[in-house]
Amino acid sequence: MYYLLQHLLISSAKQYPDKIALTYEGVSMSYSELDTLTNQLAHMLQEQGVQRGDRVGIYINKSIPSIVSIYAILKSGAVYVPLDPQAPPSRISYIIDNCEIKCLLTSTEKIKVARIVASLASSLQQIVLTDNKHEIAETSENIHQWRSIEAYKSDLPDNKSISDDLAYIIYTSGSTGNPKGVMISHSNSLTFVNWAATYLSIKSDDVFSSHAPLHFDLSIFDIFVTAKVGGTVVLVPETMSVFPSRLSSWIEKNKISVWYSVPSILSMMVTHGQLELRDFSSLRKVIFAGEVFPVKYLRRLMEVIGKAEFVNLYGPTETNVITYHVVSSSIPENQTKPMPIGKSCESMEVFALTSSGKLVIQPGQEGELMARGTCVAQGYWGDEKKTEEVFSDNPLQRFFKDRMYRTGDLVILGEDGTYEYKGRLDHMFKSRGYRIEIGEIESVIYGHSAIKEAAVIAIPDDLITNRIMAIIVTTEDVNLTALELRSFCSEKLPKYMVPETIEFKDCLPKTSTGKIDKTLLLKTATGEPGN
Amino acid sequence: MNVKESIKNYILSELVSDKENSSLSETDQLIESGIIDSLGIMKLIGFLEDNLSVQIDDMELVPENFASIAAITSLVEKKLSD
Repeated sequence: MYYLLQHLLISSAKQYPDKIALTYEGVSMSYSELDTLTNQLAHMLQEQGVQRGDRVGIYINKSIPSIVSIYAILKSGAVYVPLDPQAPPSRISYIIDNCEIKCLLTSTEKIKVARIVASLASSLQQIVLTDNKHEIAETSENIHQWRSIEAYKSDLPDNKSISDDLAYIIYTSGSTGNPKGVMISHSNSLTFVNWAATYLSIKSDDVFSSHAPLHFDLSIFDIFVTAKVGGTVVLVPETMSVFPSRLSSWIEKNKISVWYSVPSILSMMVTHGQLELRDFSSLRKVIFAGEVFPVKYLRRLMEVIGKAEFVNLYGPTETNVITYHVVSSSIPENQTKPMPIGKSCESMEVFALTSSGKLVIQPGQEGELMARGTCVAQGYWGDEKKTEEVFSDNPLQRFFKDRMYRTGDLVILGEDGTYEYKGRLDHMFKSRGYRIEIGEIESVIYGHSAIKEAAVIAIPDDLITNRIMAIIVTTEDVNLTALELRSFCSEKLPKYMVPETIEFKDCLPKTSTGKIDKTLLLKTATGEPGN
Repeated sequence: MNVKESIKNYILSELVSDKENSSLSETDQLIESGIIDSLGIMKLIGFLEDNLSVQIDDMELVPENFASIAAITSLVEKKLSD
């Protein structure tokens, strides 16, 4: 019986022990090897004092050890917390202290920064290395070397976890200045994994790409759907995405049959990937999620990879995926309207409520999208107030308590019963698939002593959905440069949240109520009439 | 301003976002350090094409040509002399 995510690996290791589970830069690991190694690491973690329900951080660039860490943490009964390897130490240490991580898994190449993180985070007690790649000059009793792993037992450690226990916590941008941790249980995640394997017709001979970083929930599909069907996942080297032509060649060379990523990566492959030179005969599914795919790039991609099925998935981290839309085989030449987000995944339900709380039933009507089902997350770690705001009771159910998640996404009901995405009801926006709260960036900027006023706006962009711009008024007699302010922001924010453009002004325009007029700022920035 | 200075200035003003990298040498690794990411490369190409009047072909968009300021300079100078 599968009720925990690690059961997917354990089952496939029994069924396909010698099959390749995982490949990264030419190095592979079979299901049997992955199962055994993760048992050993789980025993090591338990010996270090990790207990059921403890949060264990993963601070490793995407690689075989990062996937090994995920399963080992789950097998030890703990909750994995993937940390952005590129994020500044102050943000990582905030997350560590926020969910009280005592044990951090890292790599020898990240140990230098991991030590800085450890000096900032008061919760952290020990660091476990997951490779021997580089020699560590000085060690301490709080740093556990990888070489001792073979001494640990290879059987599955005792684990009393149940399906309602947390499996992982993914941190996303928070509107009040700090990231917030979305708590996902095994049951929540398996709802999506089981749906995806079944309804997207994924098979054991499929070769998956894994493009998304672990702290981005697109990675759940790559890791766990592959394990469920006994397929092979090939991890995309992080620097590969910088060179679209190399990436398209990589897909061909690795005979990828299921690709899943944010659309912006696919758009860049369309514009610079030399797709016409590649053989994509192995590629049978191209799945995208996280942002709107500009139709002109999607159309071109479908022309080049005609044989594949294209599927648009939609869902916030709080539910993983909740709707899907299979793109019809050809998109009319004159269509510019983006693909709909589609209809509910079969084991979940979505519906829209108008601003007055009425159910949207007429095509063309707008409303906020709500989600219900076992996909809905447990809430935000340590933030009851925020949890209650968005995880609420379904107002349409009068007879018993029925939990639902308010997505904050504005949708329109289409003629065919599918939903179309219209925008956000709050100040969140997307860039390269990442959720970004304007308030979090502004809060960091206001932390600089030279700032008098600041406004952050999202400039719509064809390729990456939005670019971030900050308009700044400094206090008098202060000479602050864009580089200095970007540098200040990058000490607290991940790179994808640091404003790309910074403009300095003497004052900011105000509305009649005295608020900063962001509509006017956006019009000015985009050159729209009316400014 | 020569080609190298112009490229360096652009990278420093538009792509570098932390203090550690604010004094780049011409051989510092731009890809491995994350200074040039998938968005940065597109911005950089736009800059080279608009300001230095070179056309970067997709087949030239490879790590060897963008690994460092020296590599980018070499690519641009070669294209300008062709």
